[in-house]
Amino acid sequence: MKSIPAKSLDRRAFLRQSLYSSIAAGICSSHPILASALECQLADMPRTLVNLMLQGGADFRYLFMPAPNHPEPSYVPLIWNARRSLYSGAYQSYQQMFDDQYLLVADPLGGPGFGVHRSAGWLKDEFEQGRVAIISNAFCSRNRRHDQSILNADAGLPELGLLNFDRSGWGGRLVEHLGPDHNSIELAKGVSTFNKGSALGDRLAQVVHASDMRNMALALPDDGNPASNRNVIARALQSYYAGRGPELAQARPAQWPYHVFFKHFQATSSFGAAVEQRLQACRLLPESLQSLNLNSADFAQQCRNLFDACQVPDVLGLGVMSMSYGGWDSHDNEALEIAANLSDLFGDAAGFATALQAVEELPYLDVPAREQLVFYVASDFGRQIVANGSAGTDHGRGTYSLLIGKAVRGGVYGEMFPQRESNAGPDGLIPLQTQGADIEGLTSTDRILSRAVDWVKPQAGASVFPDAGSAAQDPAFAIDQLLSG
Amino acid sequence: MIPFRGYTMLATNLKSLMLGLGAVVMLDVAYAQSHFDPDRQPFPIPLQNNQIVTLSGLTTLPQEQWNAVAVRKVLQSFAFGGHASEQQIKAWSEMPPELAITQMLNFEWLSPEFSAPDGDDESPEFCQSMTELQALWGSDDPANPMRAAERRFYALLGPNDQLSPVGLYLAWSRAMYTRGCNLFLHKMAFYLTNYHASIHIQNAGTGLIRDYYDDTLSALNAGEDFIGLMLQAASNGAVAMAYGHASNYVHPITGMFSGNDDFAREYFQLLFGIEGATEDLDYHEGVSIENNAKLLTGMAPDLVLNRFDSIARFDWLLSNIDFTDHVDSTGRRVRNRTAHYDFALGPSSCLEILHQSICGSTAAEKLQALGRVAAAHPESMAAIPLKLVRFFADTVITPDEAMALQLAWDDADFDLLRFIRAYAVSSQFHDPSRWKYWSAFERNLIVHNATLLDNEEAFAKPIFTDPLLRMSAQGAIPFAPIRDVFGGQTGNDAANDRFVFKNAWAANVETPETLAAVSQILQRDGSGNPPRWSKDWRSVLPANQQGEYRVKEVAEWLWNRLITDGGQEFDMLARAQVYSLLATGFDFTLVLEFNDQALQGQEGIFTSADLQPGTIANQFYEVLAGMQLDLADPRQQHQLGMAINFISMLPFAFASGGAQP
Repeated sequence: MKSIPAKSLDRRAFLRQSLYSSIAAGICSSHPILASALECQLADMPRTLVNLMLQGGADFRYLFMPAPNHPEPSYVPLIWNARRSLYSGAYQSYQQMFDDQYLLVADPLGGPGFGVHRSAGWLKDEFEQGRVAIISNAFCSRNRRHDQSILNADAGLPELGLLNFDRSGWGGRLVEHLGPDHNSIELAKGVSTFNKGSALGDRLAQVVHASDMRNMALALPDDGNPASNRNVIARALQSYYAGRGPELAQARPAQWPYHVFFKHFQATSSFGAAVEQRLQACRLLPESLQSLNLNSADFAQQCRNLFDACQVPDVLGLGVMSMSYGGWDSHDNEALEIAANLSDLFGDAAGFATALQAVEELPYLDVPAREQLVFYVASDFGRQIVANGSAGTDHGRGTYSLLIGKAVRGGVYGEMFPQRESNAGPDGLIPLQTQGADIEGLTSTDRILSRAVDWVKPQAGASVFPDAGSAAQDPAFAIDQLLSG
Repeated sequence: MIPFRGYTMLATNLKSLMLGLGAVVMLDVAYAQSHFDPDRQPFPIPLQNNQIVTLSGLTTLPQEQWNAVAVRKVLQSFAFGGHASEQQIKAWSEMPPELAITQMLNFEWLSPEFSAPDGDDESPEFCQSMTELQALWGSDDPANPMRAAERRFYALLGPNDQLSPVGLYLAWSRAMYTRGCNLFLHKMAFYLTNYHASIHIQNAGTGLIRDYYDDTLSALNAGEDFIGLMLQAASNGAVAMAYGHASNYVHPITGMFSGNDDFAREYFQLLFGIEGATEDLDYHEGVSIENNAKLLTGMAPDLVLNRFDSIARFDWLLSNIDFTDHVDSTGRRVRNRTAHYDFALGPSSCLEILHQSICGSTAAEKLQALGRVAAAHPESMAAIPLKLVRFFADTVITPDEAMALQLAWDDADFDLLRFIRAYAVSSQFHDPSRWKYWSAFERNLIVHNATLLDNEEAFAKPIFTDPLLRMSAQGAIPFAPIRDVFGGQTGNDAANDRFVFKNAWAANVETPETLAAVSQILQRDGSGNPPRWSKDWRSVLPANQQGEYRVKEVAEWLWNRLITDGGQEFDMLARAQVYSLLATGFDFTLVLEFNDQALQGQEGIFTSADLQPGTIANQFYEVLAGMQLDLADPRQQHQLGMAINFISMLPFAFASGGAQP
């Protein structure tokens, strides 16, 4: 048992002094802002993989369309017929639609040119500069169900058929491999399965929820009136959580459901305050990010969080981050919905363009932060290649995977607009004329991600994706080429 | 000089504490005298044969284990805590559980013993409909108890003369703490519309999603079984608009289908839990889902000219689809009969779905036929009971528990109410190791319902104290499910989100008056001298045999009102704070430090060992526990609210169950 000391002068004196001085002065005393005395410590970014999940099943076949002079002559009329209902009825021809809706780009790897939707101007520029790898005919699941497919994608297990969210994600496994000082940083509102670690009952052990980087700290007792209702409740709670938490951590089994709240207290009271303090001492949010106005306010906030996370990589233990953007389930009015989403993500002066420009300008010691970031763009699944009757597309399977970053060897990998889609298959049906047909998945995303993880830390891929070695791979390209280093 | 509000109270309370130091504390835990309304008595209801609640797989809790704690657990899990009086809870705990549960959980519009209307408030008469509640609370009707300045927030129409989503959010939140509304009925409707067959207000619109909720209330009240409830959902105009199949059609001449298969897929997965795992994948995708898309044709909702006086045409939509060919009140020709698949064949129009021939001349008729097939599908029979139990009561269902629930669901013959009742009195539900994390909806409403004492208080408090504000800051907005059709925030979501925790903490710390306020001017009509509402915990708080309110007894009563674990987790460190807050209005640390008894250099953080008998801290602890509250003093009424702020932010307010031996 601890002995009760005769006096604990410092704190008692402080409390009394505060009490009496506030009575005397009639105002709450305030201390100088400690943060202003702090200096922003520069720390180099470690290599960091950012997983962007587009929830709902993004139709990347809408983002990318073949050039009117596509080398396979039958392909363009077929795809135009299959998908023209997605576009305005005013277009008289594919050429007219393409010229109005798409930007023609050349493949840095020498493949045929193709169109990138105009709403994704930044992506087009990045692609032309060789910073975007488009991996065609990828698949992250074998089913067409949102929940199961997102779980497959987050877990990095395309073949998983069990809908159980109490499992590790590939981001969580990667940070475990990186070491105990690393965390998976969730920049979005909800913590996804992607971040979760392997320890049953403690899957958030290496997860930092950073949905508002500048507002992460718990409301603890402040230096105002110690007898205010605010401070009374804050102090009572702080005393309880800090005192009882360690006792119960020992006394109760790991599966006890209430541990998580004591961990929240620990994380938000100490870690959250440390992050906030460092950020106050570092750069303010640039005006471009403060005023970033997107269709999705949530994604705009994630972009701010991304910038701030890059300012404090050592505090956060970077290596893995997670972002998300919902609203891709484009069963109807696809053009309207998807164009708004694409412009938020990839538009000129939109989300990524603004955030990464700001990151580009961050001071650094040896390696610019921007060079240490690679983004992987994931989604539940691709969509069917033939439009439905509601100016939209229904759930499919195969899709395109995107890797974005300066470390990426940009270009198109695999057959972007497969010839099989315009030829009759064994059943005699031409996929581009068949309702329900989808992009054939040839390359498991395990393969792609395993390579990306190797970029973060050599040899890590095999640990994070143990099945990747035997997973499906389109023989048309070598997966090692995707990233440099 | 600005008066220092806290100092006088601190001095007064600490003075009484000092006087009490060393006094012998007499504890008497027997509650004999109470302040209940003498006219209100519990009354038994004869048990009908059809109310037998036992089901295969589930064992009813023995009478000796059925007690007030068990009753409170049912109320918290199934009805946001409810509004039952202490006397009623005691009465239920003394009845056979099978009998008590039929009184506690039913789908009647009003359930007086469960949530008694009080005063002259007429709101409960409108509890069967969010539309009617909003119409009342947003009006200048003399019967409207709403503060005059706040009525506009509840009005059906917003300032832009279109239906107001905010009004709906606020009305739903308020209904969940208005005495007289059957909160079990509402929680079930909330589950069905916001989780199970969920749609989002952004996709359905304010009017339709409100209709959908009201339609679901009506279907539950009418005694529809699970199949009937799913038929109501699947054939509802709100769902058709949200998913977009309202415009699906089959060309009457060419027979070409035009539309999407969105709901055709989710009908199976979300409404019935059929993922196709036991089906041939190609058959499920290519036959069941594709044909279901054709079934879901001819489902365009009508427009009612100038409905709600809204200027937005979208607000005129009706959820109740007319499946005939007709002209609606706007003069629009609606061809739901001829736009439906193979309309020329009439009742002989059939589609193969789930290996059955599903026939009917309209989508409604085919949905009726398909519902029976889908509900009886093995995947559905396995999934539905688990979905229900996971939402209401159990975050982690073991395989053995799952099997028992599936047996019970089979035995219940799709009778949702019978299943829930049997589960709510089962040993499985009352197993101490069962646990469930609360969503922010549940936690905030449970705390609010435990804190508000009557409808006068509910309507006296300003709008910014509504739990909707806290819920939304913690990621939970009604009718805006975070996963859209996959449903709203779950308890698991809330528990694993540090920002939910941080924001919940901030709410209790930064705005403690939300729960602690004991007085407020009533501003119903803004004229004359408005009366003042004052809180009196004595209306519900039992005094002891001596007619006293001793801190320890009050603390335990409050704990059980909020946490409902029989005091299992009410450890010494929590007690020290609660005793101190109740007795003085200040935390234990401040009390000790003011009395020159700070603990060893830990900034007010101490351990259980610090409170063991023989320590000075323990002497304070014991004295605080034995102090008597003077509840005629509004400041001491306020201290109960301070204690609630503390208790409701402890880990044990974020979940139910999970007891450890």
